[in-house]
Amino acid sequence: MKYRYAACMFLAAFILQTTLTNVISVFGATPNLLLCLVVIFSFLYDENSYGVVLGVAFGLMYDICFSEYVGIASMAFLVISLAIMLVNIVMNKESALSVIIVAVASTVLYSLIYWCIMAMLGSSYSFLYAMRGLPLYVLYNTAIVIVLYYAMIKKVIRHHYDRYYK
Amino acid sequence: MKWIREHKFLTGIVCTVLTLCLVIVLSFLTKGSTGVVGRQIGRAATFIQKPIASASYTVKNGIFKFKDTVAENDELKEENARLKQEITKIRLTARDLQELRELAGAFNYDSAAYDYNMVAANVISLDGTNWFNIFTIDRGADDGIYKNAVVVNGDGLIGIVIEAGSNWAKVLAVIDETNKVSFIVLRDPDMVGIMQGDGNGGLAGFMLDNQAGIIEGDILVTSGMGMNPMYPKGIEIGRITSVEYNTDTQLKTITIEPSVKFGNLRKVAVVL
Repeated sequence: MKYRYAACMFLAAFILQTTLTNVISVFGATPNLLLCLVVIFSFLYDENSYGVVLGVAFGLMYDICFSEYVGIASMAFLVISLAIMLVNIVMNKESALSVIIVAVASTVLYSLIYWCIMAMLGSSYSFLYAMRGLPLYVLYNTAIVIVLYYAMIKKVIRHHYDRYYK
Repeated sequence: MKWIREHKFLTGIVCTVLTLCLVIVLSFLTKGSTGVVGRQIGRAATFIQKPIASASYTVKNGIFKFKDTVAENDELKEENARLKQEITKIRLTARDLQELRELAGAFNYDSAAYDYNMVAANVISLDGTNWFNIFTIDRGADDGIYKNAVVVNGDGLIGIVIEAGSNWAKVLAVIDETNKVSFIVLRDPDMVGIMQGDGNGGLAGFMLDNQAGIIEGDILVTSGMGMNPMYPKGIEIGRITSVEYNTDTQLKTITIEPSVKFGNLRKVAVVL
């Protein structure tokens, strides 16, 4: 996938994240579309660093527009993207189970990083309160990551030098 | 230099991490200010988000309700909210009126006024995290909105503006705030206390007088005391859900259920 298409997907997710997703929220939980894209791009396109570059860029834009402090989401996306690129060495990209594990772990890690940085900056929110919607949040994000995975996996595994390429 | 050339990716990552750390620290030190670049990005985002947010709400309402019913319902909600606010003002004013009139004559005192200028705004986006309550509105500095301006709706106090661009403003809910807000009890304005976010999505506070006769169900309103942000007097904050006497601090502590439902905000007003 070319960079400009990936950037367009991130831009669409950025806009939908804070407008449409609030309309389809379930029990107050909304999916984090940017996180889902960071996960799927880091998992499937780790050689191009799409997840790292676009995750940091759109994380900054997200923070500027919607967060109290700038840089937190960006830092969280960077850490998650690097972590996925590291575990990719032992993961089977063609296994749906792998992407489910990555999606769940990434959502938990994102919440932890966000809470830790906010706590260091003096936020009064307790750990339990911040994590209260995590199960629902994990389900939501994992479902979206799985949909993206099945939509994008074919484009990754079809190479010119593959014997079954037509 | 040779090492950097041979490890470009690693060098890039280290530089990015350090830059982001610096950005976070600077953002914290400037209390979330994003500067000229941030305000321009916010302006562009608002331009795109405003019609999408409007369309998404319209679609949502169109699916679940008939158009006329929605319009009528919205109208009734607005009227109900306005009347609630009026009742709060009238009840507060009635108790103080006699005394204030006497004082006004003796000390040239300006009576409690409710004629603040207000700007109505639509919520165009909500923070994507599931525990913070930060949202963006479609009015900004061009409409006179400034940092620390107080945001309300018909149900009561919502929060303060933490950053204002030309056509947008970021609002932080009162339950997220670490700032302390002074309040009085509507039933007896002599009872004064201080409250702030409790870190669990609610509000908690204490009474200045530990003998104050507050009870569960008492309604709290802003006292009008304090500066930066200065909350105008008489805005409903919430209802007391529990009262305890803390023997360690010798303070009467309270928990408060906010009047405003933060998960479902669409229209707000900014006090100028």
